[in-house]
Amino acid sequence: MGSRLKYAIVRAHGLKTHLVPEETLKSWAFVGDDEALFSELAKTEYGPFFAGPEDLRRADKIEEAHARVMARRARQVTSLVTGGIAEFFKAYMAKYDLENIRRIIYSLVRATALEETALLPIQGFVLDVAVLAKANSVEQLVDLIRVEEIKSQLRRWLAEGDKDLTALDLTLDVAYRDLVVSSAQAAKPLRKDGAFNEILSLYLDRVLLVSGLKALLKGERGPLTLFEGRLDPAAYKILRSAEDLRDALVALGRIERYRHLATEVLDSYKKVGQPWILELAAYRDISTWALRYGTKKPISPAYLLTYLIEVEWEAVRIKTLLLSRIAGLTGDRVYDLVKER
Amino acid sequence: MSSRSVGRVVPTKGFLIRLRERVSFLERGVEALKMKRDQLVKEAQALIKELKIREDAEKKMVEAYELLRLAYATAGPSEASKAALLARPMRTKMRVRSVIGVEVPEIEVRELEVVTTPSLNAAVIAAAEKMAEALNEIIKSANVEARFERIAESLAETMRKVNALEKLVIPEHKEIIKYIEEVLEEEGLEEFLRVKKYKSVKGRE
Repeated sequence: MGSRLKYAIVRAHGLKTHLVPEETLKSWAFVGDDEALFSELAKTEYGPFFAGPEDLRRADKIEEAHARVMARRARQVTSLVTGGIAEFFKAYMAKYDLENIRRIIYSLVRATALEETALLPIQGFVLDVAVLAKANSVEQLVDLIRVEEIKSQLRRWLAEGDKDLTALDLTLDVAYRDLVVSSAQAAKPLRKDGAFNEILSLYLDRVLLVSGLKALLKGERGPLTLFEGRLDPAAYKILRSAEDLRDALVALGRIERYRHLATEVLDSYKKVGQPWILELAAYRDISTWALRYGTKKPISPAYLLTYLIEVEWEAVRIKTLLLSRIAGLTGDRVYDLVKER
Repeated sequence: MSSRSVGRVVPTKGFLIRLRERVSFLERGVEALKMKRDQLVKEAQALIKELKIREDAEKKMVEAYELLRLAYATAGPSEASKAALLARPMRTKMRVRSVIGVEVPEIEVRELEVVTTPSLNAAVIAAAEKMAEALNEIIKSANVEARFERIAESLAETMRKVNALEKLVIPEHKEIIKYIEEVLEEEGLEEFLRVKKYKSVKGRE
């Protein structure tokens, strides 16, 4: 392992201490006063992105702070490493670029005007979104993309002809998965690290699984064939054979590695009749497993990935906490949303 | 003499005949209105059961708003603006139908497309679908309520007409018929006496 990589890992350990402690974050669920919460948040990295307590009641400011902190921390990691590892972390963050591509394609397919606010404020990890947003047609947009994994998947989607948006979503997820896997394979230190590969495959598996479950929620099984050979075979089989989402969750609950995720989502079904907690449950699951593997080998590239996953989980929880306060959820409810497993 | 429903009364044989014809026409009209009233009551009673749809619609609306709140809390406005890129306005068609001569509006949902994709947050998908479901129920409820309102208005109007005819117009007409009959009878008696007197005077000569 190179000294630069070792330094980056040690820095990641240091940076991890800047994350908001679990107990503090949970206690914020019961803070009713904006002034008090603002003074708490001001001590964290989110502080500079809020001008005053009134910003805690503005959803656009909350989203912006979430995205900017996430991007700042990711760029901190990529600046510490070089070569293939840096390329991997850029590919990891490409999900934000792909999310913007998705939004641009939605507006092109549905002929809706694309406002600047419809795009995420962070971009430019592997794609120049600002240039791509100027495309007049999906075909032109695909021609402008320079990343082969994304371009080839979008070309295949276009060749199908019907411009199905569910298929587009799954296609972009597959493109993201292929891009991340190929960039991880290209970097030798990452390829050789068992714990890193465990975390990465688990992370990608959950990303695809959540997309697959949501396709089931919509009752669209057809495009799921895209996941064949990419998703865990047992989970893929369940998604393909399940009658509906509940059926799939019950079957997934019988598999040890999916038990917590499936139980949590099924519980939300019981409470509100809808699996609204799907993403939060998936992130909770990814973060738990990543910590488990990451701390097993603390001085390995796996820890860098664990750190980024932890950063994202923290950002998601803080965003959820603040937006839940605006939505008027009770302290107990907010606590349930943001707590660790 | 004059009356509100009959107007100026002319105590003549011709006027009496016209009045009698009018009373028989009014009585037939009252019968027809009573039939309409009974039919409207039947229709309104049937609609009362359907009015309960509102309860379901309100329940669905509460659920939809609860999900919207959760969607907002877990997904945030960025997801909402992403979902807005997919949204299309609802298309409806409104026409007028006739129920026993009462014109009632009918709204038909032509297109209510909830476009969701797997990349949207599950909470946003759930809220959008629930909201569309609730909207459909609200439109059904609006249809029933509008029909009931129009039928109830028409029923009240019909009952007012029946009451006015039965309690005011027809009795007034009958009273005037009686008055004209008495006047005509009196005139006839006078005429008879006059003729008798004339005959006796003529006989003495």
